[in-house]
Amino acid sequence: MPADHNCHVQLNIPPGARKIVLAGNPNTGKSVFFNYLTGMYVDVSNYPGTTLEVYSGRFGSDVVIDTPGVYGISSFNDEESIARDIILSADLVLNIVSAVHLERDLFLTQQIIDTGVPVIVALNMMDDARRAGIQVDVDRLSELLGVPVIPTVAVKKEGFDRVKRELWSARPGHATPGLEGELARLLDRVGTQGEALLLLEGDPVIAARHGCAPGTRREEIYRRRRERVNEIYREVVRETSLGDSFAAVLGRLMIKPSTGIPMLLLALWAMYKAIGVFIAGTVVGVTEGTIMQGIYEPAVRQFVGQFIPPSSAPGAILIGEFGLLTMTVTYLLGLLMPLVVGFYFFLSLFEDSGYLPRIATLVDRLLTSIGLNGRGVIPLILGFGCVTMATITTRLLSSDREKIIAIFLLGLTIPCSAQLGVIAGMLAGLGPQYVTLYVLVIFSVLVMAGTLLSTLLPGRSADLLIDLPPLRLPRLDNVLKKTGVKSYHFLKEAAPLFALGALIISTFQVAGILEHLQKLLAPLTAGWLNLPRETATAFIMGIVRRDFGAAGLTSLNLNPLQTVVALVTITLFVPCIASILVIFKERSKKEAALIWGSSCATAFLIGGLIAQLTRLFSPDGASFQLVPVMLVFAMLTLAVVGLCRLFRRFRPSADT
Amino acid sequence: MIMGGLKKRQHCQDCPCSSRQLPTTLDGLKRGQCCRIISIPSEIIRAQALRFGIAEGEIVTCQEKIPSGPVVIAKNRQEIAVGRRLAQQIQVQQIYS
Repeated sequence: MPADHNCHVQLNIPPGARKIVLAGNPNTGKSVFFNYLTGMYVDVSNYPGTTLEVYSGRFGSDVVIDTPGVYGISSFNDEESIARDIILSADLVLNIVSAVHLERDLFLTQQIIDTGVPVIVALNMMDDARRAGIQVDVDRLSELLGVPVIPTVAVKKEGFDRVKRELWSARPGHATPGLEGELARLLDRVGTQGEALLLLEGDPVIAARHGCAPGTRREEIYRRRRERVNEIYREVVRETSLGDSFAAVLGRLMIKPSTGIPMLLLALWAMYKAIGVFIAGTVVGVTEGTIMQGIYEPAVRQFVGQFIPPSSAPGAILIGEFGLLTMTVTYLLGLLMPLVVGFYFFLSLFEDSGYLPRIATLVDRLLTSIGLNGRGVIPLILGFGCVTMATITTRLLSSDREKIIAIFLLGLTIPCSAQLGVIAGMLAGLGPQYVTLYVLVIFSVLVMAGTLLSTLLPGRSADLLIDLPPLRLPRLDNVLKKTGVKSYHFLKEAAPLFALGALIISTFQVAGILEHLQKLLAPLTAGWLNLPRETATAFIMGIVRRDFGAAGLTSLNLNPLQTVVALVTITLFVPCIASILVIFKERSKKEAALIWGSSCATAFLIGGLIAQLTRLFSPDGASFQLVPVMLVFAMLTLAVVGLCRLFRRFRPSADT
Repeated sequence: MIMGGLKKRQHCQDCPCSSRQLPTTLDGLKRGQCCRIISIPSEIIRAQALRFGIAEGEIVTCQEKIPSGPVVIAKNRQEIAVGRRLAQQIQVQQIYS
């Protein structure tokens, strides 16, 4: 994976085509404009070193490029760097602005205008603004900014034909007062006004490109720009009423603990019902059982069997028990794909509706005690989708300390969607007390590990400062598009690793190593964890991918307690190969190896603890006493948290 | 209850030249109270706040306070969640009307 952060986006731009760039704050409706202008044919290119996609498409003989939603352009995070590079190379910027949030959105507008590029503004969500009692003087806004402004309602395509017709009337606008002179002075040194501006604002990447020291004037320029924007806002916006919409009330209820926690639990419960019960049960029953195992596997076995005898070594590798063409394809398409799609559908709903930052606000207090802030919930939630992608997004956390904590907790405690689907499916049949035990154990490990790391690592976590965008009904086309893109990337990444895992296991099996390993690990699996020896296969598979390992458990005949022990162990087990590769890339080799080793040790320790404690508390062996086990884990967690508190109190405080 | 906060916000913007001002920190506000921001601790946080439209000297309302958690402040329709420890470092002047 290339990790060149400074490199420009690689896009196919035909010679002579002009670059039309869409820019705007998050959730202003950019994608609707993009789809309208480009139609069906869209290129998706990955920006080097990030999980971010850049969409581009054709508009006549020109190219339209979408950018990630940002509040300003600089180098604060990956999104901004990408938006910055694309905007600086634009021939024209179509800036989408929400009429409901002009005060916030115009900051970016004014910053883009300050780069000197020709700009045209689409003043979107005019219907929402009207409903909220906001009146905008469009002509006056255009006059003050110095660029054309077209009112639009994206969802109804109102004003779109005008945008299309008048696109090329875009022109450079009025820069923030007092800035022109300074920019002109720098212009002959750096070539473009945009680069001059970012240099003045102290952007380290742009400064490095020109080999000069970054400017130190960001705050002063931001302040002047903010004053200018506030002036414009005061002059063009009239608020006729301050009526509270239903969305505003709901948004506030979501962050108040007394109402927000039940709402969050309700959302998680709905998700569990939909993914864990409906998709993992009903849908997977059809896709895995009926389609893959019922139709696909016999067909492929018969076809391949004509050329290669199934009993031969290549036959076993291709169409045997762990075959590349049988088990791998069935797991991937029949079992995991429906689960992954289901998870990303929910995640996209949360994202598109504006619920995610509210969850961050609600859980901020909890996360500060494990050394993260509310923002940390975003990688943790994303981890339930794909731990590998989430590990990359830990970059948005502001300190090294938080990155280590988040990466470790992701690798240790967060099961990815594929694994979670398998787990939910297996737990659903066991009854509520086993589900509770599983959740409680994983949660207490998360709390203990986070608290310990937070206490042992030097320094302290950064503070929360996030924008709460207005809540809105998620747009189905947006949600489906995000779900599609993310699921596709997940499968693209998982498929080769799955194949690799199957190949290793089959080779082991053919060579007789598998049985040998099962015997070798027997004291651990059979002795300590009380599981059948064959579970060793699942753990070996789990080294490649944990979901692969979890899926391997489905075929074993386990009693309810063994199932929970096996699931807890496989959940806490080492991060998948893709994640560990990313961790090696993001962190040092020593740290990555440490994370890998300690996950493995924790997994067997905790799994065995459940097995041994239950044996201890259930002497007759007929029924399992789970309540005392849960109490022990709860007390253990409290003890660790308490000790860490004490330790912090008596440690000479190193932080300011 | 929720509407109450908004009415007060409207009220404090109508009379910025309030009768009495006491210096405090952001976390000392109660829900629905307004204040003028006096100082924000670090440069990077000031830059981020400026983008959201919240600068030193600006008048904001305390929209919500999560018990020992973030303080949500609002200016016009812009809402921002501020972590509790950061809120403790933001100097404000409470505005009584």
